[in-house]
Amino acid sequence: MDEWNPLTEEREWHPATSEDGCDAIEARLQKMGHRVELIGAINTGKGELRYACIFEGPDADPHAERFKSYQEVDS
Amino acid sequence: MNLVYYSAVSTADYQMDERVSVAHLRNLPSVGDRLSLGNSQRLWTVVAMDHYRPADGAGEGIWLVHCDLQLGRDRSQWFSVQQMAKRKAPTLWLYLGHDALIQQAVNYVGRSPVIGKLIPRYNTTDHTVDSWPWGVERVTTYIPSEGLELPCYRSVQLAHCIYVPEFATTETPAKSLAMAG
Repeated sequence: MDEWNPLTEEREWHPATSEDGCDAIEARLQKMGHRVELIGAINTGKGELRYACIFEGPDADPHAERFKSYQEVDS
Repeated sequence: MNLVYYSAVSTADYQMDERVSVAHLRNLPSVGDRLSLGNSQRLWTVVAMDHYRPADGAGEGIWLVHCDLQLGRDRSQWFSVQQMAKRKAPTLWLYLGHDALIQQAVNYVGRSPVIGKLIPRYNTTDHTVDSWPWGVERVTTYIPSEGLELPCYRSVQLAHCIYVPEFATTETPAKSLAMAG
């Protein structure tokens, strides 16, 4: 059995409270001009942000930090 | 025995202690039954039951039991039904180990769980991913039975998993997506 390999990951992941939230993140990313498509949602069943939304596309970046607050960006 | 999958019509309605589940039942629930989803005190109402049959015609099917807090919500307003029109091929993935649900996911482009891979485990608090000590051994596919109008999924994929004790340790730190490069 193979483990999940972060070095080969090309998809972008974001947490959300619900599947609807994944849909909203997709709309927001596309509105920002990113060519990404929601291809899946994993229900972790834990916590408030229990869904992992997974995006693919030419602009999908597993290392992207798209939603940092201005305070975090400035620091 | 019937394999039954319980879920909420709206995933935004779950509280912290509520979640999807599976059960193996001799007697099926009925529309109108009241039940809990997890450890919550809230009672949900069974508003619909959808049968999916094995794509290869062998064995029993699976029942999707749809639960809601509101009565009278039109099926066409359900998020998953709307996704059927919007997405390429919404597919419900249920990872089962020893007949218990390990993880649930939806794939919107019709893919199947990968055989021979451990199940990815996403930690939403610190944005890291590692693996469950469970790997996919085989996958069985179920499609909507005849007469099911406005289905929620193009198909249901049951990923039958085996326990892989070599990965049960927590000594290996979770791998961060941000640090993976």
